[in-house]
Amino acid sequence: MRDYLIRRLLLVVPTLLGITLITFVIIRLAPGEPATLGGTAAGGEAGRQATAASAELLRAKKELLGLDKPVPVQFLIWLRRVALLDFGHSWSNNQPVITVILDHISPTLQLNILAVAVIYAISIPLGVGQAVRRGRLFDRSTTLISFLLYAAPVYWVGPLLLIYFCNPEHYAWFPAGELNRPFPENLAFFPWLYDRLVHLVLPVVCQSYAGLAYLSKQTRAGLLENLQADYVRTARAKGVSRFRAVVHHALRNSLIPIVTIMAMILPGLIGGSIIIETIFSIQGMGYLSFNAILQRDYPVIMATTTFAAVLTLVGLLLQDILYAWLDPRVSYA
Amino acid sequence: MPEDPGKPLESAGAAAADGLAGEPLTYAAIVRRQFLRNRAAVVGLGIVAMLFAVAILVPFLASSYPYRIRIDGRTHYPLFRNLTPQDLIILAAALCLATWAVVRRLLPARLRRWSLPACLVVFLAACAVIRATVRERNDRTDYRALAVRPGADAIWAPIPYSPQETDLDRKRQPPGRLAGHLLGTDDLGRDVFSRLLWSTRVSLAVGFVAEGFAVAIGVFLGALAGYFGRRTDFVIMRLVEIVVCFPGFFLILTVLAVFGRHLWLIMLMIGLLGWTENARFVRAEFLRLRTMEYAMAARALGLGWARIVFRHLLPNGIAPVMVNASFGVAAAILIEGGLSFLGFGVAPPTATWGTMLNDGMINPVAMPWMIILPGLAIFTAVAAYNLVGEGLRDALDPRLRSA
Repeated sequence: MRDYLIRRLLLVVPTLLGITLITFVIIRLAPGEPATLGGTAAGGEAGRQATAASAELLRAKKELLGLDKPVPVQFLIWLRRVALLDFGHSWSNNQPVITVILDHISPTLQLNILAVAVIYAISIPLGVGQAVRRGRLFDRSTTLISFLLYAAPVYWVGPLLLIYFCNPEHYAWFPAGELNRPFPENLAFFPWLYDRLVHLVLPVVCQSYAGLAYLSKQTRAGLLENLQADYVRTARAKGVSRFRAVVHHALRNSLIPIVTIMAMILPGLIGGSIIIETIFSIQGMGYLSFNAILQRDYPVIMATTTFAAVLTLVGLLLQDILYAWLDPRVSYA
Repeated sequence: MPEDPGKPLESAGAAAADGLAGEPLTYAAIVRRQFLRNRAAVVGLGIVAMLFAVAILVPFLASSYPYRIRIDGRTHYPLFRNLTPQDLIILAAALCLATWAVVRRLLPARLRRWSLPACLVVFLAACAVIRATVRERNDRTDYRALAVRPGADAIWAPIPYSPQETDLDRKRQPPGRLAGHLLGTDDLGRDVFSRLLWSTRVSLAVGFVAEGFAVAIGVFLGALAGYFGRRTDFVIMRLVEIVVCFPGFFLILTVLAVFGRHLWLIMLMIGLLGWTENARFVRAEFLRLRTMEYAMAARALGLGWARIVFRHLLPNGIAPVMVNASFGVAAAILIEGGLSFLGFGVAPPTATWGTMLNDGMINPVAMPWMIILPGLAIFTAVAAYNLVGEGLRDALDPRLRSA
């Protein structure tokens, strides 16, 4: 196991290098000049002078941003800085990229932690209920519903929720978009918390329904396999109650795939969802990365990509470790 | 019924069930029968078939040109004259495939293997002819005005509006308010039903071409990794790891922002990021297959690796990929919809379900039908492909097979 872990950790390095290199090359291959900030050329003599002046400016700016060097050199410079945890400055507002990210991370974290909690709190009991009542009306109807939820695109469900639950014509139960009412700093703590939670309801629904459908399906399938196992029958035969046989004996053995799915959730937890944050005007990580793309803010694009890649790698690693830890039969010799 | 001891249990049962005693069923026939028993999967397949039919026939379903119009004693066929080369090529492809499917069964076994290449040659020839002879016409005649003139007589398509035809006097009409516009109009007065139908093309194309890329790359690399093992396997699996760790949707957005919104680029990117699952499945199959006796026999005969891998092993290792490909088509449609929703899809005015949603988001509360309808279309397509995928998976899983 330890050897395996060391090998895995060593492999993280080339993987990260590959990902950052590919992203770097893609955005540097782009046609167009990122150093120009949208000045239009004027005609005539004045225009020629202005062009000469702006060519000088452009050269200076390129030098400042390091764009005058060849792409491989730029990449090495970027790597050296990242090794020292310096992601540079955002080109759109000149703040350090780390500061920009820290400014946007909290809404995304709140949204996703709640969503993960909702997913696990509902899907595991649901999956257990479905497996225990296999083939009955409850099982069939909820399985159908979760199949439908899984196929429903979030960019459809989100706007539908906005239309029907944030709209005085139908039900104005929730505020539409943003995470606070205006001037939240005037509120005391509990009213503020309430306000925040009410704003988070619909985004959390959007963020969680697909995962919920997926996870309950996994739970159901895993439990069904174990419910027929001999050890469950033995437990029942020796007088263990049905509830205990299901929850303590069968469910424990079905938890392995369920726990490892957590690793898939990790990258999204911090990376955020561009679509959901766009629909509900939440200024989180998804919003940040989307705007970085729109404004060609290369340092921010590179930083968010690297972050997401690192988190995915950590998630995969965590998944392997959890797997081996939960199931002693698994070995990575 | 007495059990025939000489026959494997499964095929005996299957043959008995089909009343074909003595003739064992092929693997494909067993899978097909299992699939058809699954009612949900058959429904999914039906929906997919319908989407295909719409995508092929849509020029005849929704068009501003009448099928036939008689003015001043002369008869014109504007809809047929205005078919674009693209429409004709799609029709030719559908015709070739349909003919092939029928003719193949009638051919003697000796000729059957040449039927698909022959069909392809015919199709390519047809494409060349179409490209050389048909020009895209830009017919701006107002047939609607002509049709109401006295003495004129026109036969219209079921939906007499092209997807791009704007009418600012009739914008933002909800479904059912105007007689002609069954599902309403959008922000520019374009007919929603017509746009919905035309969108089927883009989303089918994206689904199948993108997943086609993913399958081709995944099968090729997965087969190499599984067959050769060792260093090849190591390198390919590291590549898989790199691709898996990419923030995919974000990367596609970046590429589209940088290189422009081209349909081919969208498909290529979805394919380039989606092949890893296919590669893993094929690799796992090949790790098993390469130790089989017939693989050894092929090697002993001195066949080259390419022939062994792609002719002998691949047909036996492709089944899991079919399941995954069907989910992959659904995923590709979802991704394309998401890109278009954010305004990064195929450039306007081409109609796709995602761009329609994007148009609807201008004011979702005032135009809820612009959200409900295209979203419903994406949802239906995705659900259908998922149903087919699940049906295939169950049909291929021998544990679930009732003998």
